[in-house]
Amino acid sequence: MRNLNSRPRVLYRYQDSSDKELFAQELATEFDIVFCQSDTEAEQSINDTNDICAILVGHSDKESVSNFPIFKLAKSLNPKSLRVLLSNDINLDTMLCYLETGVISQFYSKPYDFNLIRSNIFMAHIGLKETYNAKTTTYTSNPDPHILIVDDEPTALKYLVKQLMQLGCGYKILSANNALEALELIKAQPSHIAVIITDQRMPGMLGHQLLNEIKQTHPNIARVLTSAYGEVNVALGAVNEGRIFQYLKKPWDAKEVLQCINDAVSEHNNLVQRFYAKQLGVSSQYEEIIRIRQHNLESALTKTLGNIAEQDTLKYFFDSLANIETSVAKSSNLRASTETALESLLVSEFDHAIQQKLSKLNWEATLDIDTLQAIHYAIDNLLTQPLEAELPAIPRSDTDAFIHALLMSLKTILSSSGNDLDALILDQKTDGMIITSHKPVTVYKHLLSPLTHTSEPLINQQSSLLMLTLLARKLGGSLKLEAAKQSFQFSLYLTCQRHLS
Amino acid sequence: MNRTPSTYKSTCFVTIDKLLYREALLYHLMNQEQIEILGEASTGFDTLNQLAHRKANTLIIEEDLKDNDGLTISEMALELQPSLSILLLVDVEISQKRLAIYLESGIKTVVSKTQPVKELFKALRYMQEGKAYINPQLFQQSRPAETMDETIFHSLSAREQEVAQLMADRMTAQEIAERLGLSHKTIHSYKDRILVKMGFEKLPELILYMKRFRNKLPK
Repeated sequence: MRNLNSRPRVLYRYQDSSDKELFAQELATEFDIVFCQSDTEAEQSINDTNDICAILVGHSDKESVSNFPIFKLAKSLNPKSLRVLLSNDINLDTMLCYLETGVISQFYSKPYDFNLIRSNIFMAHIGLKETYNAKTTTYTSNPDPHILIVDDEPTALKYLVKQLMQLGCGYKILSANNALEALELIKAQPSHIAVIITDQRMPGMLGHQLLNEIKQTHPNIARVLTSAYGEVNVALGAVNEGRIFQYLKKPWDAKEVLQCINDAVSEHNNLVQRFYAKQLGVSSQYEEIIRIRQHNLESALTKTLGNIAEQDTLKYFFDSLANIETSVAKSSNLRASTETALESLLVSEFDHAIQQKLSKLNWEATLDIDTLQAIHYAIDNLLTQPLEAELPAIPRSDTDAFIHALLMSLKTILSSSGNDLDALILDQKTDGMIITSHKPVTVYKHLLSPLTHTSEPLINQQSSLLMLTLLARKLGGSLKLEAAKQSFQFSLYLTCQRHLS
Repeated sequence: MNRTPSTYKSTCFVTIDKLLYREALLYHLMNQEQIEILGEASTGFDTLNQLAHRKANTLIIEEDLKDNDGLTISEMALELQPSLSILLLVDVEISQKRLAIYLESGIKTVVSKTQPVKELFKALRYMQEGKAYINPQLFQQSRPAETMDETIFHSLSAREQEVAQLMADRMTAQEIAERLGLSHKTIHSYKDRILVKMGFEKLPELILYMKRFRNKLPK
């Protein structure tokens, strides 16, 4: 297990002592570096030291790039390790070939960007390889794959498409003349596009920037970059950061492009299946987490509430929450719940908040029709003069304390969705009153949502909601929640007649 | 560095609760040609509302907001627009574990309020390239009060030092040229060289540095 904040350990197989000095100077403050002069020495160190997160190998121009036993060894021991080849002159095809096997993760050339190197080492150290923000998908395969080709020369593009058709390309081909057009097309039919082939040089957003963005939003689309030969730097950047599937040299050879398309479509199918499987795994694991969380919350609260609330009040509260649809669980949520104290913190913080709020109230106090009138007066006052009216500062009586708690709960719930008490409507009934929200109350996260951390606003809002449920009961009424997507509407019915049950 | 010049601007939305702090950052952002400020907000709710209508590609957001926390708002913003690059400003140093979760949830970089503004811009630059970026300083417990390295000034030649001082006094190139009896053109090349040597990009950085440098000198 990694320490909370540990120093990353890096292995550096250097070529000459000047490089060694440079790396020591740039990296030794943050990292423990194991310097090795030969492959044998490096292999030995990799075998002996078990927490190396990054392997940097200097490559001299004379050496052949045929074999990298160090990388293979490092990958077999820790697939998530960062494996970097430092080289100034390496053939692009060789480079792509290595990336395909996954043995080498990145290539750097001089002048080295040490900020980036440090950042990437840390990324590997904390176990991050790739991050993306893709939306969840509902499909396991793509029966009708489309190919999207992006180039700012319409004639060349048209010609290529024609040639591809003549060669018998069976896929539907879409074309775009710039990055923005391409993004629009993807947005319009995200589930069909299997492959994107883009030129690097275009006005506005460049090809590699486009691919970077797509990698984030649609990681299942296989990405191919094309540019005129010689732009090795561009390809290098795209390969390192954009994780492209292939690099095609211009001018295009239609047969080569077709071959690339066929390969990329099967890559796409693999990606779709893997993505779906991963997503399925995450959501089923998270369901279990939520189940346990709810159980722990319920048992903590049952103890705290004692005879303040019946079991069905809590059940109603959690059922209402569960009906409010929020975001879908992602791997970051899973990581937060399993690797940090999030789950236990959430329960203890929530329980503590409820205890705090209850401690200000004398639950044995008798509330009668006068209380109801006082509540009516207070709310009416707030609604008619929202700017001048203030909440009672320090409650002087038991009744005051209940009114104060009620108003504070309402205010907290409303302000988390950009509203204030003026979003309420007050209705007088013969036997009491009904307070309703005339706008939906937005809830981005609730107690049963996928979370990445607990925060004061979350605990505040959620505990206010439970308090409102409890207070409604105490005031002889009920709170009804009408759940919707990321929001709810409520109506609070108060009679102040003794609750008969 | 493998950077291809691009005409692609980063369009930035800034969410910071405290107005003074937000405006201070906005002034800095306005000095960057590559950045266009698209909007600002003090609450998470307002941020999401505005982002639904504005095409920002970058969001700088503070973790500690009043209505909803910045991390939750970031996650919601990413659901709305997965291509959004987010820089999260945190109050204190965070653990590596927490950072891993933040980055995995799609945030591109995390900057602590204890870091110099220069680090924020460094992180922004990597973000514009579509990269996630970690600055190791985030995990350091000791916090540097300010970045004041006296050796930077001493690395300048005597003439460069003289010009740097005058630049810091906000004299124009023309005025400096007249004062030193040099050509306008020479002063311009001095100016460029001084900034490069000192590792600054903009004149205000030099002015602030010289202020701090002089304040350190014995009276």
